[in-house]
Amino acid sequence: MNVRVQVSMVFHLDKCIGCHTCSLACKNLWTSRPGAEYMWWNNVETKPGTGYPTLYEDQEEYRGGWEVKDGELKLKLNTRAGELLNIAYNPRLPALDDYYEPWTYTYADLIDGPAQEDQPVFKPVSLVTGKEMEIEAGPNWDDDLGGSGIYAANDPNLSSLSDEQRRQLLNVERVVFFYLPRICNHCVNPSCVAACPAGAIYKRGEDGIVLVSQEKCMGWRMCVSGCPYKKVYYNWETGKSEKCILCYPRLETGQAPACMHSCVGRIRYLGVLLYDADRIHDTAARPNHELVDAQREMILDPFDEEVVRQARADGVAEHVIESARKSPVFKFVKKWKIALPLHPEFRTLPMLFYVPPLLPVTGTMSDEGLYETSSDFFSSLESARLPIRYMANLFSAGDEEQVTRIYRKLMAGRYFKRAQTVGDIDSGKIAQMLTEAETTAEELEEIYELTSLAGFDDRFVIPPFSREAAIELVQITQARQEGGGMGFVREPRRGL
Amino acid sequence: MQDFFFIAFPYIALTLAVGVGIYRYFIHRFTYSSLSSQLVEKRQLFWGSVPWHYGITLILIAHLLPWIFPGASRAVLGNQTRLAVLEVTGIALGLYCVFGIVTLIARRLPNDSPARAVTSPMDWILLLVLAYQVLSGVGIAMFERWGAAWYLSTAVPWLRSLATLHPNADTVTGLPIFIQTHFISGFVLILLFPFTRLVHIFAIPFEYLWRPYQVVIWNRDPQMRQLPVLHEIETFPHTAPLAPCEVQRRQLLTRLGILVGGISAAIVGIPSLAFLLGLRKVPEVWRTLGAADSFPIGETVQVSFLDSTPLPWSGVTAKTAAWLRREGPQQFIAFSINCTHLGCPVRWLPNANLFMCPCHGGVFYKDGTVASGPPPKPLATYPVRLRDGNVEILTTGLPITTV
Amino acid sequence: MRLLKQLWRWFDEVTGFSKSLGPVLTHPVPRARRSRWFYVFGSATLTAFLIQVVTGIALSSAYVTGSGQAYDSLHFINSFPIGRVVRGIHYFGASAMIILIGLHTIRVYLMGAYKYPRQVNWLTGAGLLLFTLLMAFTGQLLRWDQIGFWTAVVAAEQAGRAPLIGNWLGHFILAGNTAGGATLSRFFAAHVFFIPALIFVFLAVHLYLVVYNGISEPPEAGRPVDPRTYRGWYHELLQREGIPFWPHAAWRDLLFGTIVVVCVFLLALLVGPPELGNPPDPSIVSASPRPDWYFMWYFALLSLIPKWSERWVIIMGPMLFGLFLILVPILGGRGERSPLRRPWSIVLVASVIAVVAHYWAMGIRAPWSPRLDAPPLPAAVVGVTSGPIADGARVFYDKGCEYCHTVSGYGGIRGPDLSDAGDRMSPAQMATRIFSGAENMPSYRGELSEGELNSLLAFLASRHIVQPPKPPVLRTER
Repeated sequence: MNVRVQVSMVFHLDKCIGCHTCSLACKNLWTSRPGAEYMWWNNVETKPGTGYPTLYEDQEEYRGGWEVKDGELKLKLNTRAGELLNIAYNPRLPALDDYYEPWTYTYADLIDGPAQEDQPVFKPVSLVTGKEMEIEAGPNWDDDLGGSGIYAANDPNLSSLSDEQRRQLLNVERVVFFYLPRICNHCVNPSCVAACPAGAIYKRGEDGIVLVSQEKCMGWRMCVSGCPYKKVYYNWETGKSEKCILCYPRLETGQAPACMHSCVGRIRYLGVLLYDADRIHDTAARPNHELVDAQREMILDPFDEEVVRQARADGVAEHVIESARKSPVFKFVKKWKIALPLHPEFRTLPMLFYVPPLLPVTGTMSDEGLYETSSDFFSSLESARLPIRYMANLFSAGDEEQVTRIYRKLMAGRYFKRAQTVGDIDSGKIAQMLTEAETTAEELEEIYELTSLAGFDDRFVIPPFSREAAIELVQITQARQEGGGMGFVREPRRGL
Repeated sequence: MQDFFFIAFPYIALTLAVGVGIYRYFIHRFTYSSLSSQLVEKRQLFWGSVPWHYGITLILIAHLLPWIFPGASRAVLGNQTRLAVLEVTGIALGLYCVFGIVTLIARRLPNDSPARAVTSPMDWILLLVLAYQVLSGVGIAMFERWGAAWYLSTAVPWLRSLATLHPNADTVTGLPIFIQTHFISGFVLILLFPFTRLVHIFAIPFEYLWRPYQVVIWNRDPQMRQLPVLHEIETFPHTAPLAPCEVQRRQLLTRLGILVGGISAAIVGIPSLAFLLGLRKVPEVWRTLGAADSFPIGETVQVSFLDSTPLPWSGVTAKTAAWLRREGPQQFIAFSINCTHLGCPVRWLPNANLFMCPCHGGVFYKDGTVASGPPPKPLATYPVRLRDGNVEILTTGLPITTV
Repeated sequence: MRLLKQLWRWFDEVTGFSKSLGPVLTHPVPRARRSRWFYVFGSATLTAFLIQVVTGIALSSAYVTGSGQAYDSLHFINSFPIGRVVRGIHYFGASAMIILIGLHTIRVYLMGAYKYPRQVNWLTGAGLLLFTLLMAFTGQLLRWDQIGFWTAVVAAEQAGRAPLIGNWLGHFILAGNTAGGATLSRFFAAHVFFIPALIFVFLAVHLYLVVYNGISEPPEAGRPVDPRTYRGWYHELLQREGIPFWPHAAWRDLLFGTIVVVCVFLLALLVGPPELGNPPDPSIVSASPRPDWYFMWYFALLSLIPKWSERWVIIMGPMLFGLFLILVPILGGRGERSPLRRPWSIVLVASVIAVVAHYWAMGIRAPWSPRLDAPPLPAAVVGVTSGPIADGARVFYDKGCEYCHTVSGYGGIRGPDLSDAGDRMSPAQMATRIFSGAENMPSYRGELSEGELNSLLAFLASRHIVQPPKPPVLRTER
């Protein structure tokens, strides 16, 4: 056992209202620079939909993540030598069109335009070429287009659904969708790190944040293809790759990441997890249906004495262990088992987790076009508007049982609280639901507390990372403190 | 002028390339990048980048190999068929490269092309010089009387003389101007190295082939936290924090100090090292051994003569000995006295007609071939000639490379 | 006396020596209960090195660095009795330094003292070992008699076998393409300036590290080195039972160093320096180069290994040895130190010593060297004075057979002893061998007339084991 620490996040999708405040907070803070305009380190997708960049989940095209071949865990992208041979031209790299070409408008025309008959207008101008352009796509072009024949119909996660199920999804009366906020998953087995020929991407030992060294990066672009979530972006201006940094400068000063801090729906929870680094390889190489459980096993229980002893031996500080015990993420993922990783079948062991959305599955449309709340919630799971199959494709590598179990618990919680507050449900029925969901009243209370009532300090629990103490032993911190504080000593200017 | 282009300029270019390249790598590492434009323009890049990179890599290797192994290359090129096959391959690769670079330039030309938006002035200079380099290379191969074998006897000696710090441009100064420009623009490219995106060649990540997939970096080794500190060493005074300008000043002074010290060390060190390592070319001269008639036919006798450059303080060590054998009235053969095993002096056993080495018992027949023992090859021979009835011997070095 | 004391006080006040160096001198070292005397070899090596520095400076004041004059200047030095003594001290000091550095290396290896945190101590020590061997080699060469001269040639020939750079390296060593006027200066500069400078630098680091990391405590089986805890543990050990280096531990070093000095001096006085051979005239071909005793084993190794492996041994041997020295602390930086728990280290040291000793003994005997000074067989051995057997004995000498084959105590020992050839082989078998030759015997086809062959065979056939007359003891040609 080798205990390591990971800063981790949970997204409670039931609470997401799709307002994109997180995306904008992130954009304003990090990616409003030349070359980075097209990047959305945090984006919110409408599901079913094709996502951003378009069809990023189709790994037959982009070949991100890992695959198990002859019992060996291998990069799906290429062999090591193969990568070097493709270094001049990476055939699996998404082009700018797969994201969108960033633009601005000639706002000055409104003021500086000559006097004329017509109302002055502004025109879109490409932020890449500086020339006028036709806008063909933009960020969140598929927003809210749940039943769209262009976007929703082409969602790769629908591939294993039956024709009938797919036809229903596109039926206007049955249109259904939910939002999926995505940032870098800060995986434990990151394929971007493994694909980087220059060795520029690394995982920080202290908090597990995956970063791109802007100095070491040589612009070979393999990370972009290697990441199955397409959360590493190539900055075409500086020639370096960039990605979500989980706002580590904010974390180190005790502040929540910008996306989380600005979240209107309070859907995000952040805390540390302890995991066993010795089990990474074994976990990532499991068969698809074992992946979720194996990852949960890899995450360690900070209340277990043996784990604590080993953590201390591995240099995990006492206050970090303490914080891991209070971590809301630990509760959602390991204790209550109601949060799942996104696309575990990519085998990167993503360390951000999602509580699957409940709302769209509780009701169905009757043949007369009336919205009916099903009276038998457990049987309705099978006839849900968004099939369990689809959720399983997203969150559990196709294992429907994992998703069903969570829905049972979530619904049991909902009925349990209704019985408590409204009192219109038979207590025998509640008891049966609790048994079927393998839960207890105490647990449901706890879930309810953290889901609905928790304040910011309950949702955001991190230890002081004391980075200043850690790095002052190896470098003179003041040497990098020029002018306005830590950061680049020199302006990050593009090379010749 | 030619001295400048073929002797001074290459050194200037190399020094700048290495010096500035290293400086840029360590001080402005952020600017090191391949600066790929694949994200903004993908389709044309495929037809440009792939032919260019594969082609130029092979062509560069073909330029380097004869330079490093001239002997082996001469042997390979000596055969007409092989020469023809190699030259045709070379031309094909050259044209492949030309196609690549032309595509690469063309994709950046259109005014509204996204690739143009990410093209710096330096990129244009680089593209033009590269294009000239491959075009002139192909042009020389097709229109000048010039080929792989010529390269071996003109440019290679010059380049090797540059490498051994004994620059000698005699073999290239007489060539047509067109060919010379190819050489010069080659060194222009080397000069351009640190000032352009070419630096990415220094950064080709071969290490990727064997490094572990995952990279984890700790601010502080977690294993070391348990370590009791033996000596409390003050690394940084715990006084008031330094003002940013003071930090800058210190850094500047440190760097200046390193720079000045490095320059001083180079000024003193490089000439000393060059003197120490520089191999003085020793002339070969003919030394008279005596009247031919004084050597009986069929006998092997010891002769001694002065080496080619006796120094005033050489004393007896200026002498060299050899075994001279008169085979016939006009035929003489002179053997080196150095055993081909480890160089000990062999002795002639006149009755047994054998040479014998006292060190490890190597034995040679009278014609110098190995009879027994450890020597790996026959005794070395000196060139001998008859002039005016005198036997003369050509001084040569020790047969050092005996295997 | 009071004045001296005052002077010292003033000197110490302005230099701060006792403040800065005092603690170094009295720094605590572990109190070794056993194996205390094993710790003296390092300091004794230093003592030997200092002997070399002092006598080397003295010798260089009279030595002439010219290929033509060096030999004569050595005779000049030899012409003073005190000059002979100083040369003797330099020679035996070198021998002592080699023996002591060898013992020191073995001691450190066996006790696992190279493990954490003393890896760099070991690496600098390995550098010092290398430099010491280079000093020994170049020093022997500076004697610049016939053997010294040929040593330079042999060195260049060996270097010439290195792949790619061999030729260049050989030229570099000889300062030209043949050994001559420029060669000696090169070795002189190496022996007197370059290598000593390196030794001083490495020595400084080595000594600094000894003080910084502390002297290793005697190993104990079952107490492995763990980098996480070692320093703290060692610190505790010193606090608990450390003794000041000076004088409680240093007196052993002092005593042993003195013994080394006295021994070297006595040997120089009684045995004297190595005699000078013939002048370094390359045209005198009757030279038989032999290394000094410390390289005798390597010399023997090169002659006894199979021919095909030679180029690998010459190049790879030293490289592998160097690699081994570098890898020892890197691969074995932690774990058990005690030789009892590292049996392979004992096996390794024992086998290295056995191999070196064996080859060294072989080197002294040099069975592969033909005895080119063997006298013709006396009549008493041949048995007759005329007839085919006597003719055959003459042929046996003339054709060089005797240089390699012994007959009744006369002749070389490279080939089989033929004293009882008549008992072992038929004339036909002998003729076959003589004609066809062997790996280490030339073929005599065409070199022997029928008459010569018949008499040779007759002579050999007459060799039976009879009581041989007492042979004179033949010395190896040196």
